[in-house]
Amino acid sequence: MKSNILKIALSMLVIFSFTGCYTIVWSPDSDFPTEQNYDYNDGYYPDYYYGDYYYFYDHPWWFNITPPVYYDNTKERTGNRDQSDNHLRNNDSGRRNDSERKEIIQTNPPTRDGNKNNNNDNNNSNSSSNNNSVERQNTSDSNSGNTRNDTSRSSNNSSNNTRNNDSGRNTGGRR
Amino acid sequence: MQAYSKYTPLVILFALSLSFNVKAQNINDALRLGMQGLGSNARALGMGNSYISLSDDASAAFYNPAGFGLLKRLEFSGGFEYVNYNNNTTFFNQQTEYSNSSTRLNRVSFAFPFPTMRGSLVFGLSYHTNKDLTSALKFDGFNNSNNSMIQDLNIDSFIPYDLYLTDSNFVSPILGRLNQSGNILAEGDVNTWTFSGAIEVYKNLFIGGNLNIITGKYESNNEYFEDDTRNIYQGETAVGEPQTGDFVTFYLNRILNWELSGWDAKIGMLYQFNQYGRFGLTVQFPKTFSIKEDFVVNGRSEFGTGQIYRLVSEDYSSAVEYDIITPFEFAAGFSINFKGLIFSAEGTLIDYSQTKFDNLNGFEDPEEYKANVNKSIKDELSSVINYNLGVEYTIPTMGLRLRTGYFVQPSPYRGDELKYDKKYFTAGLGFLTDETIGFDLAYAYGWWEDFGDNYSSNLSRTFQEITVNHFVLTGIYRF
Repeated sequence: MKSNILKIALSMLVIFSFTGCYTIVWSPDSDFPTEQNYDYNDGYYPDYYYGDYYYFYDHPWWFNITPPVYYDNTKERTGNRDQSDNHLRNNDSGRRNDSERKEIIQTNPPTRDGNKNNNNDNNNSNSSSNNNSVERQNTSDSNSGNTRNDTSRSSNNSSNNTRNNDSGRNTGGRR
Repeated sequence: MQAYSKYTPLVILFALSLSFNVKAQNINDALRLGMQGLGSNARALGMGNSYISLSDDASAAFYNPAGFGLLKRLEFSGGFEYVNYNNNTTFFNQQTEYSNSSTRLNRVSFAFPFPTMRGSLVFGLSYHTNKDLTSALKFDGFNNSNNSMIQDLNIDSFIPYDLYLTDSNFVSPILGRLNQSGNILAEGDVNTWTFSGAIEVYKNLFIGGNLNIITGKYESNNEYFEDDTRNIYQGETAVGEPQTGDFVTFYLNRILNWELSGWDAKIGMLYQFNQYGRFGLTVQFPKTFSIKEDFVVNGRSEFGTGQIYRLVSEDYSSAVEYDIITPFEFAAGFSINFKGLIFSAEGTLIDYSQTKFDNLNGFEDPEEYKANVNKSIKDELSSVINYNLGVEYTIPTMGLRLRTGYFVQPSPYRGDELKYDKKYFTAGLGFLTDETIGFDLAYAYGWWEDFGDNYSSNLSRTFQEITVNHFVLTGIYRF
């Protein structure tokens, strides 16, 4: 009997491995099957006799989903990739020395119309009547006052400070 | 008492107790597992289980694995069943009714159709109950003839001797004319973990197969009494033992516990004739049931003197293992769809005489026993053709389906009359909502006759009229 079962299992594997049979299984390198390109069989439950049962039996589930979109990952990206993973590695909620504290990105506070007139581009006619509405600063203006620079992204690889931000104590103990 | 302690031929006792234990395995055990169950799908049962040519849901694992190829939507399905078994027994012109019931989660299934450009490729995983083993029997009547179980057991066991129902030479004054009563309550189920696959190999032609891992359990509690209700036996049952005067009761309790495991496979084919009909074929390969059996025997005798003797349970209990291998089952069926009305029919050929016991462990002489029991199977069982009929009509405006069916499982015993065939009338309904959620409810009423012997053949026979009420509720979610 065991040999019979093995034969059955083997036969099933062979059958399901055959690509020459009628069934064509969708693969990612071919168009996703939709109602337009799917080769329908005759349904056993036509909707004029079975109503919703037609969809229950004969409407493939993959017609109801958005065809998956695939991107070509083989192309080289042109941007300069930051090879450092210090930021990811060290943003671990551990203790940090004051000396390691980096400058905080400075952004101008939001302004309220009617109180300050530093947003010269604001031509909203409703602004005077709606004092609660917060207007974003023009991004170019805020960047102009921002002290942040990109050195940490491109060239700050003197990593002693960041290496030791490992959630251990940094107050003169073991190194 | 002294005479008893001197007369202890342990070797004979051992041999006799083994021969008593061997009685626990017989044709009935093979048929308990070999006969078809009712499955676990309400739609199928509502149509008289005439489902080989339909099988277009995840229950195809039980009926026809090729039916998986008809699924085009993912499916979760499952359900519950309730079984009520009633036995109206006539025993020496006295009728006794008894019943037993069980409720269980009978199926959890999942089917996954692969997206295809053409055709169908579907895999399914299912856990389902193949067969319910609930049963009941109760009898009570005065056997006026000169036989009894005490006398029958005295032939090949020490039970009457141990209970002081015989003297030291195994001679008992008891010669029948006792009130015999008892009851048997049994419960259990045969379940299957199934991995199935189906593919459309040619337009509208599907083939499929599955591999099944069997689990299950069975427990039977058999209580038997022989009472001297007419005060016939006032003297000593064991001469020289005055405390054995005025025999009152002999009691024997046999508890049979099975732990089932095993495996099998099934292949199927299904062809769809456009919108008008379907034709299905299946081959069920032999199921190999591996059984771990615990057989526990308790007993006692009671006397009017107030004396009670009890059996040492360990002397007569046993733990054995063996396999029961069921025969091939070949089935064919078709269904015709006429404007929303589906008619289906099928037949299944089973040659029960090919049922076998094998791999016996824990027996005194396993090969001899195996040969004997397998020969008795050949002699007493025959081949049968089960047939099933079903009808379903869909009311499209309501999403409602109405079903009815009828099926027959002929008795596997050679030469049995038609009244021993198991017959079922079924009915059911189904409802669909939002194109995704379906509910099916089925009711099956089964009836047949049977008989059983407490010992020997036709000396203490119960004539049984059995009816079964079987409800199945199935829920389906397709998305």
